[in-house]
Amino acid sequence: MTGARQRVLLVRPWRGGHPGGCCAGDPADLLTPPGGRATRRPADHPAGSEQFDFAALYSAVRAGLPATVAVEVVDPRNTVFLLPAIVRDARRRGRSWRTLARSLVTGTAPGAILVDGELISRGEPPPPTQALTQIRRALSR
Amino acid sequence: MPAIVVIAAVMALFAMGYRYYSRYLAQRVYGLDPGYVTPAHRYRDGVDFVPTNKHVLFGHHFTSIAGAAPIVGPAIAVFWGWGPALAWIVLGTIFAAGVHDFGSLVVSVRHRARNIGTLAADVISRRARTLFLLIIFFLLTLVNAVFAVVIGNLLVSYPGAVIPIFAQIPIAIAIGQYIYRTRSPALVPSIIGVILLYVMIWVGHHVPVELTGLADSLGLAQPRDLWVIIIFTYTFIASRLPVWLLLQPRDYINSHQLFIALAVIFVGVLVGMDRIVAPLVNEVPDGSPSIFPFLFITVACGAISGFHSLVSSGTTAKQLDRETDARHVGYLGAVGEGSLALGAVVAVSAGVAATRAEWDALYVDHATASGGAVGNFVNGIAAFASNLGIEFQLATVFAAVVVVSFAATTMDTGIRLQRYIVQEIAELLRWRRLARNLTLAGAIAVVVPLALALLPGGGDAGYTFGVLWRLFGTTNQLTAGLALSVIAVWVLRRRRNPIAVLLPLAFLVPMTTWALILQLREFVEAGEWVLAPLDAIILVLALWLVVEAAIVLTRTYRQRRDGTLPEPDSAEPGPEPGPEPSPATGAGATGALPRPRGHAEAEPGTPDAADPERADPPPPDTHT
Repeated sequence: MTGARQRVLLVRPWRGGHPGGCCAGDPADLLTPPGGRATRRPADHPAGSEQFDFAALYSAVRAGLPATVAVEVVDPRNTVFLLPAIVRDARRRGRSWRTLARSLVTGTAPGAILVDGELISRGEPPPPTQALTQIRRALSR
Repeated sequence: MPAIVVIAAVMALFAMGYRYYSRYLAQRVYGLDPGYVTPAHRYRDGVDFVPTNKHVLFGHHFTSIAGAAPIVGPAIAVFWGWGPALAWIVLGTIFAAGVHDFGSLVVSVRHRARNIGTLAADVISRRARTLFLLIIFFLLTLVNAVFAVVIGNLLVSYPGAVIPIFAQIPIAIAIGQYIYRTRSPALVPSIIGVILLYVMIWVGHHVPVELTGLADSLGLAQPRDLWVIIIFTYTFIASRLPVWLLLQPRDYINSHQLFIALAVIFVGVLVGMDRIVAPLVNEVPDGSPSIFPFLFITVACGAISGFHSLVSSGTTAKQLDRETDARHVGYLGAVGEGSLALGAVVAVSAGVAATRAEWDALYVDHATASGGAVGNFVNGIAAFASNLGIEFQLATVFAAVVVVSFAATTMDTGIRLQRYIVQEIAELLRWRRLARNLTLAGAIAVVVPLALALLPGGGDAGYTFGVLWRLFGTTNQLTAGLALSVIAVWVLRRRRNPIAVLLPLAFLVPMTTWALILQLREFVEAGEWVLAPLDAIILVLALWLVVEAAIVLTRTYRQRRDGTLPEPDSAEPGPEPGPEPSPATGAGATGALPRPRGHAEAEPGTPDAADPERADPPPPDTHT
């Protein structure tokens, strides 16, 4: 990522699929029938439907922002990427230490939205149009 | 020799492998096209198919493939000397694992992110999918049996680890409940979980738990067997729980532990300046398994692992933003696993003993080496941790907990995967009752590896473990062989030179077959009438793989010569469309989305056929 770019990080809700740790993949990936899609469905997971709401949010955000803004979907488990990315984005935008600390502590929440290292939403994601407005506002600050 | 010099040299070789060989693979063998529309864009639904930055994806991919296996194999393989073990890890990582993991990802991306089993059917033959399922069935059976024995041995050897290991279960459940119910950030609770776990390590260190008396009263041959039964009982229950309740938070805690353990190894070596006391090449006693072929099946994960093709061709392939990112994600993931194996070799050749005589006593023969390998790794890590000021005995409990946590998570997932495989095979055989009965399928998934793990033999020296590990290695290499066959055929069909793929395939399959034949003779001579048929079945699968690969490669060569090669990439319909449009937005999860700049023209009607003016930005590139 170049220094001039802006970035939105969307933290996924917990997925219904396997975390796949330690040399083991997701059974949905393992047993997808020929020509089929992954067997994961909202019913497979108590939060499964959240994935589809989140997908709508992602679609709206990606389509509603200019090409110069990167939009990344990150699994909340992926701290090895997420934490350095938050630090890098916040430092680049000159965020205060307090903002950075808040983003680091709460930025791994499923459903969190971060704009250039600043947390703008956590918990239940806002509706896509509202989220887009909030993101645009944060980008222009 | 100072261990740090070895680490630096190997890391330099890995860096060169990534810089030069992976570039050769990307350009000349796989012919990566930065303009190719990946499934993540073509079928973008925001759920499974999401174009993802390569650094994000690397984090996901690496934590999905790293685990206990690249620790155990190298810890045994040092029996032949640290030189051969490390040479296989380095050469395997650069020329086999990198090719395999990277290639699986590329081929999957070119075939609508399908898994390797389906790709085997597409690229080789329909029979190959059945072969794949059977290989995976045996692989999972052996993984679960092997890791149950590993955990059992460690809990007997390090009774201080019992309390933290079992405390990790309620801690993980509490974290899972908390973060799921309250939608809270996972980082702080999981770090608290790690801290609580380390507090429990201190408690366990002072309150060790031994089951020798109970095992005796139950008439079990050794306390390890009781732990194995307890572990399988736990995994049977755990495999029926929702993943968010136990498996995900536990895995989350483990991902922290992975990086803590890696830091302890490399920083501990740097601070302590430990020297390697193991011999470069060990004079093994007569009657030991020979270095050829057994080294190459003893170190599977860490040199090449068939299991990685499942991860590469699964979630990772669905999220690849650009085809060219496969080099960073696939090849570098293999390098990460190789680095973990390097840490294991250093731990058991430098950390575990201060003198050559001490080391010789630990690796006096193969049975002692394989039975004590994981314990040697634990003691090696403890020595590195003590360089950082941690009390040695406490550090051994810490290291044992790391290994047991990894192994237990693999078993949690492995039993669950095995249940799916049992149901899938039952479906193929039209055994409807078994295919639809979760409890029965789960029971089979547990009972078969449990029976293997309880096989008598070798006493405390772990003869059974050593044998099971070698069988696991052969089966894992078979899975890799199947994936490499698929990749080789695909490369041939693209009219490119497949030598880089055929090389590890041509090395791996004979080594695996040779090892299976030697083991079969050994089992028959020893009257091992459970292991001998198992070995024979795996040998048949290996020969079947050779035949399938030979048929399809010969046919493809002939077609290439005659100019009748079919198109290299699948042209079948892709995945089903995603979910219905969201009432909240009117936008479906697969609604029209912009096409990334520079990507090829998409099929009409696909998300990528959207307005090209509203393009995604090119993927960010901060990699240095």
